[in-house]
Amino acid sequence: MPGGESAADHLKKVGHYSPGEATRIMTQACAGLSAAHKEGLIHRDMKPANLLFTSSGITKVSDFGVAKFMQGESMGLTQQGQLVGTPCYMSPEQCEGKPVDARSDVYSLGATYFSLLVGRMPYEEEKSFINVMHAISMQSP
Amino acid sequence: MNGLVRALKITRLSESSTLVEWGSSLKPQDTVIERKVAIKILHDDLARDESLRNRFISEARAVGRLNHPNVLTIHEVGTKDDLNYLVMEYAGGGICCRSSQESRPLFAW
Repeated sequence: MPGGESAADHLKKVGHYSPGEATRIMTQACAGLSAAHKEGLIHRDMKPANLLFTSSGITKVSDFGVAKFMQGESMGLTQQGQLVGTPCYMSPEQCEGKPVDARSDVYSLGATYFSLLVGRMPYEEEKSFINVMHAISMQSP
Repeated sequence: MNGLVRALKITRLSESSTLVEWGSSLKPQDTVIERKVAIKILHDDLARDESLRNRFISEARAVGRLNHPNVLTIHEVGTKDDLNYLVMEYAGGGICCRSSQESRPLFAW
């Protein structure tokens, strides 16, 4: 049961989670993001560092600072074609600066799940942001 | 870090929030309900960027619509003495990512 740290802290200090624990964390993260999606809100920066835990081990999705509403209302910050997010966890469409919807968060959740299970970021071996974005967009998962 | 230093001199950020300790993550105590909260402060060098200041407000606005046990609650957003701050639910791990490789998202606005 994690407590007093983010998932990223745990990965750095301890390593990967057990499959059961990773799945429990992700189930709660999915519930939180699902609530956001029902409000029409896309997180756009889902990653282990944004999964925090209460002292009782409840997972909290945090940092909606680059979140965006899917329809109609703009947050007044970003324009289409501009990149926000953290490259290794970004969906191909997000890497390409295309419009994103809830499915982009689902990709990032999958990449986060990968990190929790394996203990490293997807495409971590790539040497630059450009290579990461190319790999995400062009290579088979 | 001037903003953070100034923050430490501020004992009351609002009617309900007071800084009582600090470190890599700030863990103030809500003086009314006596719950531990986290405060996120925009550093001086970032606060000069209007888009980043607006990000604080947008985060509060976005999360303010949500009420879910798996989403970190934001209690308050504001500015005091040129200090831009968010008062958030405290979740142990605070708000800082200590993983250098993924510490900052890309911002291209």
